[in-house]
Amino acid sequence: MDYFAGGRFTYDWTSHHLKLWEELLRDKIDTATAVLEIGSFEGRSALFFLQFLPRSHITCVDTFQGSEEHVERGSQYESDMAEVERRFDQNLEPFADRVDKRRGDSVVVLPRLAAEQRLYGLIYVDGDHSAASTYTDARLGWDLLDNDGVMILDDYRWGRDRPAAKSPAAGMEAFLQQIAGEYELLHRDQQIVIRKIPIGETSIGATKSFTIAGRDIGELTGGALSPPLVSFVVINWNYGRYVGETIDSIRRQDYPHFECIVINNGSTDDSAEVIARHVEGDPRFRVETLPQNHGQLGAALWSLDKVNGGFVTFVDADDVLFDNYASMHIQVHMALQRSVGFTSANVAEMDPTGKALTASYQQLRLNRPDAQRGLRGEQTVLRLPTVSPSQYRFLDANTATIPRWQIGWLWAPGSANMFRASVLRLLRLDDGSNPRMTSADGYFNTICHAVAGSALIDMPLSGYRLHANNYFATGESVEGIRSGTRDYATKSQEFTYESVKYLIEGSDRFDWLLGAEFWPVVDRVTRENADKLRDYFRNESAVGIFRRNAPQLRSVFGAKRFAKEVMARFSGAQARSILRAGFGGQIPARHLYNSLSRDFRAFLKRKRKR
Amino acid sequence: MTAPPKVSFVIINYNYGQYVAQAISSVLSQTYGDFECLVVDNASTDNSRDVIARFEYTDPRLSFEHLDSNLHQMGAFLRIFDRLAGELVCIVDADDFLFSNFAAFHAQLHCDCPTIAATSSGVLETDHAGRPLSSGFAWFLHRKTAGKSFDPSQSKSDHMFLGRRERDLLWRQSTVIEPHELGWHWSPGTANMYKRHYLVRCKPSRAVVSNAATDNYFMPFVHALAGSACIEIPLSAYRIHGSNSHGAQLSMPDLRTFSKAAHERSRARRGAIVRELASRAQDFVASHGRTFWTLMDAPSVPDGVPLNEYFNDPAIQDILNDHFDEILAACGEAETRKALSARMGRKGYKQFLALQGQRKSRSD
Repeated sequence: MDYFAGGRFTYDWTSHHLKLWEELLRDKIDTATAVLEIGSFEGRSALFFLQFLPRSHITCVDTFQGSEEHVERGSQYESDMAEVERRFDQNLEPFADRVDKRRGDSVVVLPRLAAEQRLYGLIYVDGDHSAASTYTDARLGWDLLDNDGVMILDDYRWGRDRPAAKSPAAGMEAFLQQIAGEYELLHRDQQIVIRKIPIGETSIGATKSFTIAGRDIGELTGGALSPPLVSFVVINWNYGRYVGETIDSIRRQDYPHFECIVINNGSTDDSAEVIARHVEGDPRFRVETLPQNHGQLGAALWSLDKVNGGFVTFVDADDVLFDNYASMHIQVHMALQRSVGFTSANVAEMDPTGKALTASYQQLRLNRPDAQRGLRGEQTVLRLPTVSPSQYRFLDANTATIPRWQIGWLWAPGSANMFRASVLRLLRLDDGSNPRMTSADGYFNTICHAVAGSALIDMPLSGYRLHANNYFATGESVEGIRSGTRDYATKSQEFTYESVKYLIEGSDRFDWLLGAEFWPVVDRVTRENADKLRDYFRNESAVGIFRRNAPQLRSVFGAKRFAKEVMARFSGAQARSILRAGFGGQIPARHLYNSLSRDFRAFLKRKRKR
Repeated sequence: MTAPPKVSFVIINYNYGQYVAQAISSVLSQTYGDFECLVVDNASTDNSRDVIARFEYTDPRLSFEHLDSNLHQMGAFLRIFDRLAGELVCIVDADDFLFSNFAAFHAQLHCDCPTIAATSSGVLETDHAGRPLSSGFAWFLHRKTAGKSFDPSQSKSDHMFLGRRERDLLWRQSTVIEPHELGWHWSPGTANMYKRHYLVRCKPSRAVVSNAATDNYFMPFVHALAGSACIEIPLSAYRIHGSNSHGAQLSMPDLRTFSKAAHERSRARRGAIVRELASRAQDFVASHGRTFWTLMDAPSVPDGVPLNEYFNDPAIQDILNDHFDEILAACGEAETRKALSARMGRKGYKQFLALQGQRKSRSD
């Protein structure tokens, strides 16, 4: 059938979808009566819907001002928008009594349709292509979609070469994450097609209890097994204006099995009063007050004696957690192919008021070398009642376990991470009795990953507030979460020497724990690539760490291995000063010879290059 | 149709008064009907006896044994071994507990896969209060280099201890591991169910092993004799307790979260397998022929010790030395030379023989 005979068009972005649409909408021919189209352009898709669904009426929403690609000078899609609107009117003229044209911006029109209590059986989202607009159109449209209705999101693969914020895919993914559990995926290719699951249907098979292999744990263990306990540690220094909201977001968790320690870290503002007001009446909360600011890492280390949970999140007092934060993290911890040191999820960025999300959030990169995708079979793990089967499938498709040899910053910051308490204790730098004026994630993420690996969850589970006082006040971080300030980057790089020191001082313990991995882990916590390691260790603080611990290194690894590992990292007089310390003042001839000849070879190599 | 196999649970308790009641209750809650449960108290000095006493006269399937001194797990097990009537045996650590579907899944797989000597299922590692810390024991989950998926078409059993869907799940999640695939493939202790016949076969005849953990000795041994199967579904809980910083840590892949001392102890004790095989070499050669030497390799592989190093270990050589006549009688001089040279190296074997000669002349 030719749906477009006699019409006037300049572009055809529609015809190649028709086969798919006919297939997916066949059973709606008699029932679909209301269609909503966001982005109509010359009316081609509207013509199809009107003719394929003979009983339908269509609401067409378009600004008829064009989106960026239509008005950009020199764009291949540049169009005279007034002409486009005329063609739309003309093309739909034969169906005028079934068309409701709403000229205007979708963010204005869609809420108006909602106010009119409209419901649609089919919604086609093909409006502005920025991530934020796609997200907004889809999200507002979702509330206008009837149960069992179908939504088609166009151009999923469009603009993959453009920044994430300027192409639809990021917006669609964020939208799908938001409605996880409420939809069934019918198709995902150039277009995403989903069906809205009626509320009654989602609850079929859902239980109120934790299950293993489909059985209630009460029935399996008679109460011997209880839910995993999560410990939230809120570390607050003078965030009185934000910390209340942070606490509220923890109280709202749909996972009730947690404790929360709120540490008022030497605040001088009204924090104490705000905290007291917000934790009131909830016995899961405890407040601890430190007389002086201990730094975030200092407070985190200090708190480790006080947490009872098997899993710990250090919550920045200006962040908020989404209601499903704990559920999703715990479900992933319980279902990974292998245990990891911590899980890290996406963050959505918020403006200072916390009221609006900037739709551009940085997504974690899952497709890394040797990353292991997915979770174990749903039947073979502890299943949380607050994670629906479709949400589990979503987590399965959007989780990756990253092997510990991957270096660099791979995670979202701060509150986005949930650690295994036993791994934090294993790598507890000190007991927190002294201040450490640095971030907890800067230390713990790097070293926990280097020792135990980590997993990424590509789903936003917390909100990260951008305001003038935090380290990353430089704007929305589209290009990299850790873009941060130069000052921060330097400071956190300097702190890696603390990690090296910690491992080297504890070499007797870590040698056993890590086996052959000890030296690779030492190199990894530097966060430097292999070719930069010598420069890293040339720093006098690294030399000092090795020199002070040289006798112990020698006794743990034996003379030969000790000399080899020192020379693998240090050269010249620095290397020999460490060797000398290790061998009690006198370097054995063989090692001295090796060290000198190594330097000589390096010298020749440099000369040749010149 | 044969009767369903009877399962014997043995709960061996030493000073786990705060946990042992949960272990006993978890056995009594099994959905699988045909079992007996023997609770052995290893001369506890805490309130264990009182806790256990509360179960007396509550269930005819329960019986009790109170030892006067601590024989450790293996010693206690050997003490009561002859009293067990079950075709299948599960030794439950008193600080662990089973899920109510544990025996049904294990018994079903033993019936569906009749040749294997033992089954092992997934565990949830939990803290002292039974709150899960991970979804499994690292060695069980992450060493997926051995075994083949269970092939249901091989099953001729009519027994159905599970609903159809659960049986399908069991089949989907089961891996059968051949005897020659050596290594540690299993969950610890409680999660394993043996065929009693194979325990009888490798029951240690000497008191030297009495302080060993039963799984450490029996699992590699019975597996090498007849193979085993793993069920990748958590069917019991494994409690991590005590001071959580060292010693008792939950397992992590590629990290040695157990202590160095414990590791060396278990490695040394596993030498008991070599002793048992060597001292009864003729018996095992009669049943296993040339694979006798593969059996001899079984204890070294779980620790990743190279064969060359293992068989040159003085402790192992002492054992071989003690039973060398028996080995020669079983395998003959030529084959013994070939097998041991392959493991010790030609030079190592010569040294071993020389040392042997010295000892002989000393004892003459």
